[in-house]
Amino acid sequence: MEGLLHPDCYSSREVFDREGERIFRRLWIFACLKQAVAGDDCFVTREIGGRQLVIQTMAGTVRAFENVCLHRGKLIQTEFMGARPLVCGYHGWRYAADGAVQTIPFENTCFRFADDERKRLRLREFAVCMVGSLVFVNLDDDPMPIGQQFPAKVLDDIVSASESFDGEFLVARWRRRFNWKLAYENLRDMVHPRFVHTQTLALYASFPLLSGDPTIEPSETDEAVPDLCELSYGGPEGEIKRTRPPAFAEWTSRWGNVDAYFNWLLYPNTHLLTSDGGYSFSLEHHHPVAPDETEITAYFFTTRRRRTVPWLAATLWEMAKGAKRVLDEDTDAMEEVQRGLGPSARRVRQGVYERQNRLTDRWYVEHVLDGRADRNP
Amino acid sequence: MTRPSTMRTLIVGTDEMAASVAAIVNDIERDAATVPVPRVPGGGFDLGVLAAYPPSQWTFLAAVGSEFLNLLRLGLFAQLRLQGYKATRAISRKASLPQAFRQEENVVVGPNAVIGEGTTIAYNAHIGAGAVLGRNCVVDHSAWIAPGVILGDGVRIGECTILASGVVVGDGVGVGSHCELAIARQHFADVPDRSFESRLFDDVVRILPAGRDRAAKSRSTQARVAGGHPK
Repeated sequence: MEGLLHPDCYSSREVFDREGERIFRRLWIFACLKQAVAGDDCFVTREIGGRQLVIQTMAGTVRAFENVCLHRGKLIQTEFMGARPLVCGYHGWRYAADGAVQTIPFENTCFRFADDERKRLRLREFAVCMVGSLVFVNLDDDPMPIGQQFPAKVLDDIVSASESFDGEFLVARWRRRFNWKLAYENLRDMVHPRFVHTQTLALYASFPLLSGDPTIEPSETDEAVPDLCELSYGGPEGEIKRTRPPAFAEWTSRWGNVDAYFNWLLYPNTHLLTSDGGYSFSLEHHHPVAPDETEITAYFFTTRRRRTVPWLAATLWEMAKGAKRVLDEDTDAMEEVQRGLGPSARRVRQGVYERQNRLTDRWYVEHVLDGRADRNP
Repeated sequence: MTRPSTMRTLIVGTDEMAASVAAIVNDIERDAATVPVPRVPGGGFDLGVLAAYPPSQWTFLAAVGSEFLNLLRLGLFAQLRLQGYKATRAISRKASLPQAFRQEENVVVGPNAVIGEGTTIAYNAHIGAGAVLGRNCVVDHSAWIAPGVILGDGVRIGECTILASGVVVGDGVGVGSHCELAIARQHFADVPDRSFESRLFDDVVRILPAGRDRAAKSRSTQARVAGGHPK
């Protein structure tokens, strides 16, 4: 079957801006781990849908504000993660837990705002939802219930799994030259590990070629637009080939007892997995930077430690290096796909095993492209 | 190497590293022995092969590279101590040492390394050939300073930290513990504990402690600057 998305969907600035409006400023988007903001003044900064955000714990509550000072428009928190009060470094404006301006240095001398104007000085705030240890934000003025975006089973899994995460984690960020959608098309593709990951992932895990009902024969004409909820899914997807638990099983509390490779894909851009049946997890967040550029933030953590050990840093670092080799194999392939998306590029050809990609594309065409799959946007 | 004259040196470890340490030891002592020991699943080493080398006659050098942030070497060091062995050290004749240099257990200093006056090197640390350490540096236990690393004066290197060849650390800079700096780069600012630099990643990778701990640290350091803005 011919793919539903025109190649321009992966390279056009117009489409990219529309995704910001229709997806990233409308849906619940993963922002950070609860562990990263687990104390007052702990913060994470993110740019989502073109908006600068700070997710910060204020007076015991995780809040999301626009990370732009109301005075001169400078970013208030400038690091990716940290712990400091919500104070702008330019002129010292300090913000309270509700986003209102708390103190302005030299206010009576240099500013002299009228009372009404002073009371209106408040950062724009966005909705926050905690799903276990995962913090999501929604930039919409009227955010949808999170259960409308993710199936209850997936939410239950995420709560259960993420509450087993240890408090310390390794975080890494890097950028690659491909459109963010390619990452998820690749993650929904269970055939590629047999070719791309022959020396890494395929050595310790195997995945069925067809997921879901193998008898389904999708046709090009009768595909209905799926519910948003159908785009997120997950669970035990692959078989682990190992003969014994990882070395750190001795000092961690395993999540569950199923020897499987678990994947959860949370539309639009979050991927949680455990490759060792619940002893450790990693979470990848693919953040769109430009039509042809994606920032990947990867978190690595074991499950909760049963005792203090000297091995944690080395364990997480080894996990990160191993995972990065697999991710590099994926991103190398995606960069090659991106390079093939030139002016003469044609739509992709999809097989029956790509049903989940096709469902996602169908939703995308309807909600991002206003149903105009046949036209170059 | 100082020990009773009847004692001989047993180099225990993994092949490549043992050969490197043996090259230093053999320059000083002709009757040292080298014994590779196999790893066992789940961590540690199988020391069964050491039955022919009683602790009463042999002192050891644990010769394992910088694997697993030096924790494997540290683990072997601890295992051998538990078996009743005493550790020695391998300091190359061609290294340049300060006058009052305290030679801690299982320290290795390679040929042509230069160690400045007042610098201390804790047990199980490894200083590679040609590394240059300035004056008054402190290298904590089990650190790994690769060949060709340059440390300025007053540098502090945390425990188990790895500095790869080509790393330069400026005067007075502290590199935290359990770090791996694997890119030949100059560091003129402190590097926090458990920071990693590798060509695999574009950016410095860090392991973050629980947010609550970071918040507490941050509050203590910001107390001076956050005290009340003038109205």
